[in-house]
Amino acid sequence: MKRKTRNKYLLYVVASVVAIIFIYPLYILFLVSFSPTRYTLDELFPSQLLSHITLANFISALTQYNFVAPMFKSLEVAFLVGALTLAVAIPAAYGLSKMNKRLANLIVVFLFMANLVPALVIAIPISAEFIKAGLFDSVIALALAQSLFTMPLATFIILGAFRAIPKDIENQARVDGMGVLRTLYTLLTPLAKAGIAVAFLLSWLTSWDEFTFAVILSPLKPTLPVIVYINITEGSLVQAAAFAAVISIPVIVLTVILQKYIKGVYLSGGLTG
Amino acid sequence: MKFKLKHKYFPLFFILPLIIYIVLISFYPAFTGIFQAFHSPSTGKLTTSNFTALTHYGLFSAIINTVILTAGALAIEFTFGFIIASLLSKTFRGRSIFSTIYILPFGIATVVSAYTFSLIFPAVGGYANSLLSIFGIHAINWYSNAYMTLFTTMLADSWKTTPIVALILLAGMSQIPPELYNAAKVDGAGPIKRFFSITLPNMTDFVTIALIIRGIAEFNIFALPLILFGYSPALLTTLTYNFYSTTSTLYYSLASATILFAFAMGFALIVVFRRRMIGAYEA
Amino acid sequence: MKQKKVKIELKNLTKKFGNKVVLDNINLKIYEGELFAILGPSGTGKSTLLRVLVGIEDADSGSVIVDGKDVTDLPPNKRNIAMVFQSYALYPNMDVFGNIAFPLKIARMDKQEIEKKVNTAAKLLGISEILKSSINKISGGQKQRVALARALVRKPALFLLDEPFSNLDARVRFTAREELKKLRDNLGSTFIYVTHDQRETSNITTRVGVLNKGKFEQIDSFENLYNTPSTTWVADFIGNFPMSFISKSKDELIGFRPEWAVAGKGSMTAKLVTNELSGNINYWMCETKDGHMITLVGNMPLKVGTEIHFKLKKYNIYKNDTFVKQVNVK
Repeated sequence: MKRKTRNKYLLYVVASVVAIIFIYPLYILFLVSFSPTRYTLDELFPSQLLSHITLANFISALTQYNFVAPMFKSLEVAFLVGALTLAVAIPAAYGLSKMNKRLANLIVVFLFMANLVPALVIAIPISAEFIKAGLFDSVIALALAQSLFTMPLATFIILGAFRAIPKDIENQARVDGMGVLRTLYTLLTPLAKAGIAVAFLLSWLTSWDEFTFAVILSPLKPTLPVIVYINITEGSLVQAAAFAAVISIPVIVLTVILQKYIKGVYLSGGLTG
Repeated sequence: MKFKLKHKYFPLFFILPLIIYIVLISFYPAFTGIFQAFHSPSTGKLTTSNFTALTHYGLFSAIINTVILTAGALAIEFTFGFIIASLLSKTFRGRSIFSTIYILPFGIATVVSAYTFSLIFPAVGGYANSLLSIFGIHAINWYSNAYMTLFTTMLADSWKTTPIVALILLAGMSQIPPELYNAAKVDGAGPIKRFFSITLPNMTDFVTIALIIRGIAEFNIFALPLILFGYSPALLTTLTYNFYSTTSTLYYSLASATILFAFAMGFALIVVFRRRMIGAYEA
Repeated sequence: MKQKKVKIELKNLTKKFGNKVVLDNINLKIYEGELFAILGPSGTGKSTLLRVLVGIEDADSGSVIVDGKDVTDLPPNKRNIAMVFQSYALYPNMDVFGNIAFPLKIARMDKQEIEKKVNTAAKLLGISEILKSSINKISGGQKQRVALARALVRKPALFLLDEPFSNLDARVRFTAREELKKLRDNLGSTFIYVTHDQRETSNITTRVGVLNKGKFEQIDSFENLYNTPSTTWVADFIGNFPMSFISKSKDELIGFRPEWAVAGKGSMTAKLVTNELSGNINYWMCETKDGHMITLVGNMPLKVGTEIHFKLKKYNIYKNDTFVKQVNVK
């Protein structure tokens, strides 16, 4: 009995220490964004504690001429990535769910191979193609590139959702005379809506955070992550802090909402299955 | 008859757009990029001159730095990943709160985490040093030499990437039947013995996946070093980007990207192959 | 009885999964108004046969003829066959009304017409009160009625039901059987259903087809299946106890049901192995001298090892596992 309580105590100590390590950087980010600079960036050894609260950093960052455009760009790209991903991944997942399981898993692995090709290896050649096509700096070009990261995972998640629907429901729809496309979009898609929502939000999140494609394919009309980078290189560290906080807020909310769906099996892409 | 045919092949039509997309946006550009890297910018002939040119611009140290960074970051991620996975594999009050905290960094943009760590580990002073000074430790220069810089980068990178490793490892742990642990306990195996003789051998698939996913991502680490310390010490990615943004032709950057690709693939092959060899040996 | 009309005919139907033959050259005629059960152990192709009939799966060869029309190459909804799946396959995103109305909506029927038909079907099956309920909130028995209602609004030529009673709990199961028979009588339609449980076929069916390894061993009334099973396999499969066999000659067997034997007297003997109580009747499971296991009706449990004399009132003769004739002993 004694040994058990000691173990429990140890568990909480370890869990808390790791938690503090993990929460610390976020704490610093928000500390810097909400404190006047004289307590943070201007200090050589800044205080760890919050002593004065201000919104001045946000106001100065948000009233900057270069904030609105990147934010809209980021939003547009993220929603387009989500939409594009679903438009391609839903039919693909449906097709895979109709196939022999082994062949389907093989195709899924093939899709994930696309994720293994370094972004720079792809970004540089396609930047040349996009320049030729007049798509450089455009929303659509960036969304097309970023969807590379999201398509395989989204397909895999939606495939799981489709596989969970009893086969007989679809058979019944065929007996009732429903066509294949109609079955997919009016029957199966609503039934798989949880998985599809997760796929959309994860895709949205991936695009919202993405940097490599963004900085190479859209440097002149940047997204929020790129504008943070530009601010840092230009030395506007306070604005960068405010931008960073702004980027992170929807991310934190989404991560908490999606928590139970961000599973190891999803992240490993079913490659172990 | 027509109906039957349609029935048999229709799944392929649904997958086709995705396959076309992947080939067009991923495989095709990667292939042409690599193809061009082996061609002379002036004559258009097959050559390795782009690669030999790179050696004059610090290619070898970029490779060494990338390998060091990858190995170090993986070591930190897997250490913390296993600690977190072990914690979360137990049931205790407040588990979900802890798990939320551990997952949070996963969603934070790399740029944001890079920026945050540039505040914690700036060239002089900063939050880490101010924390150390509370314990009476002298201020540390986080970028005093290339190795120190890489070490700082490993720490910063691991913060964002450990959650993914932890979650994959947790998925691996949770598929191990609990009877195995009970049997081992009855046999008198301590926690460390249990970890090495039961946990680890029974989740090699998941460890392999985590290694491949993270290892390749580690080779590709880009925004973080760019923001934290810029182009020096050079990594394969920052070297590539440096060529891309400063030279008028793409050839050097493509050659550099090709080497990056080769290392990433080589790493994946080694991991998979080693896993196969161990599997064959065990069987 | 007047000349019966063939409702559905299967000709040389064969289906393989890879190398495995699931349906082996099946020929079958089912007549108008029949309540036909396809009975067999699991994994013998019963469900596959239904799926081939309705058109969800295609046969490798052979044809399906409904009302004299070859429907083999038609999609499921053009075959005029309704199917109730084992899981009922109700659409979870629609309410009861939506489920029943669905096939009519697909057929682009007019709204008032749909409402009328759904109400009629609901009334017939006694589910008028739950039309607005969600699928997740109704009982298993109600789910089955909804599935049946959805099948019958289309006025199909015939109904297929896959294991219709297996998802019901034991108490409802018995009444559900009777109701299926009543429904058949009311509609005068043809029903075919699949089951692995012979108790679900004994009282209500017109005929039962016993399927084994993709082939019909025997197609007959349940009574005949019990009394004159055409093969020793059917004799073994049908009945609370398998038919008892004793050797007659090298390739001939004598088969009998427990109640065809009189225990206590007679020239034949067997040693008691166990007593088995089924209902309130005691059975003696015995072993004959040449090693056959037989079942006799015995009024009370006896000590294991007791030698029991018995004689037969009636028996069947099988040669090479095939039925030859039935013999009544005077």
